[in-house]
Amino acid sequence: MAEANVAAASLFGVDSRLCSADILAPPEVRARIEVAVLNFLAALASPSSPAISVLPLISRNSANCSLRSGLLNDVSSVYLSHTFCKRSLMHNPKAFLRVWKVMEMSYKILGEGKLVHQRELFYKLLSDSPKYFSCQRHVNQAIQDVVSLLRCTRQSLGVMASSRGALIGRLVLHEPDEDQIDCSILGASGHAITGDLNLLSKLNLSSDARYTIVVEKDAIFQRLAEDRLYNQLPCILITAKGYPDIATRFILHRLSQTFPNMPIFALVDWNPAGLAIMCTYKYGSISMGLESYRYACNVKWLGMRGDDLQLIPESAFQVLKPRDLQIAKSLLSSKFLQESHRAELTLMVERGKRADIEALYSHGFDYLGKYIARKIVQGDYI
Amino acid sequence: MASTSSPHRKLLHSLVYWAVQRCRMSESPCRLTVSLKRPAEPATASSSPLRVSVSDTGVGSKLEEFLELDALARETPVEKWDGTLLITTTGINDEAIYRYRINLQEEISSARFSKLATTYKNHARFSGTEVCLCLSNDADVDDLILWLVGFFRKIQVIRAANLACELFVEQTGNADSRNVCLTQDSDDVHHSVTASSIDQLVSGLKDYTHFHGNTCDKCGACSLNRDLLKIGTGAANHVDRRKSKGLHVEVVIVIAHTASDSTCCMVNCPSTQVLYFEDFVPCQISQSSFDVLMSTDWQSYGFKLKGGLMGDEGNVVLEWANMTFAPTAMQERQGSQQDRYLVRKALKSALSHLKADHAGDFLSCHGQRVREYVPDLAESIAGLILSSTDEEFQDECIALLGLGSEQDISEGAVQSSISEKMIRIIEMNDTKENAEDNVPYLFECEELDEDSELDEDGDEDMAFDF
Repeated sequence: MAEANVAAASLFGVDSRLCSADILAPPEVRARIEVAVLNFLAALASPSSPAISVLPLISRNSANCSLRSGLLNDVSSVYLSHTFCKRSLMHNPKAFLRVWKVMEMSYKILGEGKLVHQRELFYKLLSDSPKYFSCQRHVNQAIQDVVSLLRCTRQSLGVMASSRGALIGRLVLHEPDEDQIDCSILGASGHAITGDLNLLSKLNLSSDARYTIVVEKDAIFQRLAEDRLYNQLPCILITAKGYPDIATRFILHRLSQTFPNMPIFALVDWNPAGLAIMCTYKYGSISMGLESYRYACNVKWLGMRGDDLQLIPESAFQVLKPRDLQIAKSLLSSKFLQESHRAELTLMVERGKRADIEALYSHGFDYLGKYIARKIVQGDYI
Repeated sequence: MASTSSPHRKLLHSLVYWAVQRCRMSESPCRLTVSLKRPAEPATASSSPLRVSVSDTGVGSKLEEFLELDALARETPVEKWDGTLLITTTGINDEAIYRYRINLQEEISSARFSKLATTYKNHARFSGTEVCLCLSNDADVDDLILWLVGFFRKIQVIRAANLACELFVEQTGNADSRNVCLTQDSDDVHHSVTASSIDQLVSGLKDYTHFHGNTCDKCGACSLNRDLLKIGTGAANHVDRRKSKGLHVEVVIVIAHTASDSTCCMVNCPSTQVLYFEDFVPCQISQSSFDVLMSTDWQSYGFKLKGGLMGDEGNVVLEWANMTFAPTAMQERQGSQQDRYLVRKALKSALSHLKADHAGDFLSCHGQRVREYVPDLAESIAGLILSSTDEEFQDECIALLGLGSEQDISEGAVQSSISEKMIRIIEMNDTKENAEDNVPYLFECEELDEDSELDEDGDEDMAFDF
């Protein structure tokens, strides 16, 4: 299946250290699961040295991640290499069992030709095996373990994550055999992005926008949507309402591929979490590092930035919480942060303060649109 | 230690100890007899004393050991024991039987020993010693007798080769006299001379468990279950060339299988009695041996130690938190010095022996915890296999499990097969030190840079979870 991705591989260059999760059709995933079972049983029943096999999972941590730059473009992405950690029955029986239970579920789901939400899967597992799955986190982590083990994407396993994403603006979406959706005439909540990556990949996109603006928060997205910013400034607005889920990243990536001359700007709060969100769109994530490297985009930081702080009243600043500092520390020690972003982050930490985009409303509710337009026109982004 | 122990007990303990050593030094079969004659009247200050005699057919005594009772004699109030011993002894090559009176209360050392009338043996060949003394007949006598019975019961456990021990307690001058008579069972006296000391220990301990310690009657239910006892033995020794004596430690562990249908109420008791012997005589456990007991890694064998108590008489009771079995007794035997290392080694050896002989029963606590997950894991894999529409895959799985080519294999059968195999592997690898080294990976990995074990809360990734 790697051959099918040759185009994508050449874009990122040949790199033998990159570990990737393949996008596979159901029969192929079931075949991999069957191989897993057969290997396990063969080890159990070995006449000379019976053993309970250990599951080798690609490590999903910062020690195993690296940055690679694209040869043909400015896109850099975070990727995971061949460092493994072990899931063993003897050391952590519950986690070991969770992997098998998810494999069992996935095998059955794919056998029935279904695609289920991560949330649905949680409820199913909660009712079947409450001893092992008591919270969504258990399910999500077990799914990522199976992704790491079988090296295939989450959606290939028959599981998709609900997307919280929405988009609006000068974009027309056309699902095959469906009506067109003109995203410029929608209500302020915009068009909800589906979690089904397969569906998203089949969408036809057409647009006359000049920019794509990624917005961190839903409230800002809605404000800009209500003000119909995209009628004043030809753009597409997109948000994941917080931390970027894979589907939102996917569609953003598709936009960047379909409209290569359309720059992507990020509008985030001035705090470490905002920067982290932008970096996730920009480089991908470690926790889904086997898949997300595909969807990295060249995102530029529009605002809020250090230079904009003079626009905000002193009273709008808040103290950085311990959580913020934790995120800052993790970002500062990462390999991918570019110099200018690093300087902004350092300033945040030094000042010890954070500020939300809403602080700009002190100048009036229509100020934000003007602020964005001015910055873009002036080329004030990093 | 055990200063609360009555002087009577210490005295008798010492006399019996030396009698046992004298018997061991003799090369022929010996008999040791302790006899107690108590008058029937209730205890009063002027009542007749308790007459005690400790006699053995071992080598003759050189009397030196009795001088060690000096300190004890001084501590003991005269009313309890007047410090006098009447000793009759003869060695195998002696021509006569010698009699002495020793008075340890006597200040003047020259007046301590008095030699009494000698009897000539007329070429008869025998050896032995009899020590007679009088103790006060006070209110504690019943306790003393009870202790003595327990003490003898323990001596009989050890079954020192060639030694038969007996205890007689007679109450004189009363119509309904209560007599106690503890002799070695006749079949035990015939135990093979060539049987090793550890085998004797095992045999003795098995019987001891049926007596549940101090009582005189065998428990019927437990006698029937004699063969269900699980035994582990271990030994360690150290030879010191400079001293001619070596140090030898033996440990025997006996575990009774708890049966819910047993009529015996002692069977399900979650505690272990530890019997400790030095030179074939029941003794107070040494602090270092007690420490070894408390610090042993019981969890590797599936036991959870709740605590240990060292009682007045040096008896040790270990209490267990989890009880599927009720260990009943353990004993050690060693030379004159204590060596913590040897005790630990012998104990570990006994536990390993138990584990090796009864694989699944003594799985470490960690192994037991993991084993609990096996049925669920087997169920998941079996469910996966049987949900498949791919017959070839199913057939291959069933063939790997060795389940034969029957038409309809049930999910239950597949699950059981997987379960059994996994449990066997867990048991096999339980406390193997290098068990982790060669565990196969489910898939081949290109490079094996091993990271540390994933923990549940890992994955910081900017603290996000998508």
